[in-house]
Amino acid sequence: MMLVNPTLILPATQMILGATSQPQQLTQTFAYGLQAVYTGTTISGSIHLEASINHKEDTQGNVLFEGDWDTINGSQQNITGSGTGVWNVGSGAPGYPWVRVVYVDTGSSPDATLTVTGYIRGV
Amino acid sequence: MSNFWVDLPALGNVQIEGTVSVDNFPAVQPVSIVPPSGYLASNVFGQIAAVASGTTQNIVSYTVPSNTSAYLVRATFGGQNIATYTVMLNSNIFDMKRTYYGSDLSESLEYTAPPLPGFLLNAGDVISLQVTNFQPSTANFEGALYIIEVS
Repeated sequence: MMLVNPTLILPATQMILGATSQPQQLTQTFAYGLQAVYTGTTISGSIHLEASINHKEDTQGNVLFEGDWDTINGSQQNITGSGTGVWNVGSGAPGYPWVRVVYVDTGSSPDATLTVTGYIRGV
Repeated sequence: MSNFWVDLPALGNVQIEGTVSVDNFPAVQPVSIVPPSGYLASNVFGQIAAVASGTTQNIVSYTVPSNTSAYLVRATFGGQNIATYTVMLNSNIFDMKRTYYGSDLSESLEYTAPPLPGFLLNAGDVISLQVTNFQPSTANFEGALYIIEVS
């Protein structure tokens, strides 16, 4: 079984600007988890997962083709204060090879930051 | 605190937004079927002349080479007289077929079992095709074993 160590796919980012994580590749993956950590005086926004099938990157993470991204149903959460959140996806091979986290801000304070970590389990 | 936990099944969660276009898919291309790598198809053929009445003789044999598996795909056989044809596996009767008056003097036995191409044989297994001539006269007989070796 392939295990990929937890990977930081969104370093601490100022939430007021909105944020999109690096895409996480899911080739030969049957389950994955993503964890968001957000902290700040005031937090107001929503966060969700997006999937892409036609996105392409080389082995160095250089984007060869910026794919089309679609929201994964049921993944969206409104966040209104500091905290953490986890998306637990599986088991079964996902039908898409790429996933990313998108945060949309609706009024957080400038000190609010967001980080996202990904973890995949493969075959 | 504003925490959340979302459990999602892996499949069927992508919400398609907008129109899906299939214009960029390539046209259907012709396909040729080739054997998988490591598969070698072959047949072994044998003839035997003047088989005496009431006797059983070997027409052809095949031994699976060492470090090799093989599939027995088919046995074909025929002769000048009606007869009983017996396929032997390691000296045991594996299969049998008779030809008789009013039917063809040439027949076959099939062992394909999709998705397998035939009956699996292991290294060292011996398959032989024998004929028993029940007619009062001598006759010539022939047969072949069709094999796929997997190395």
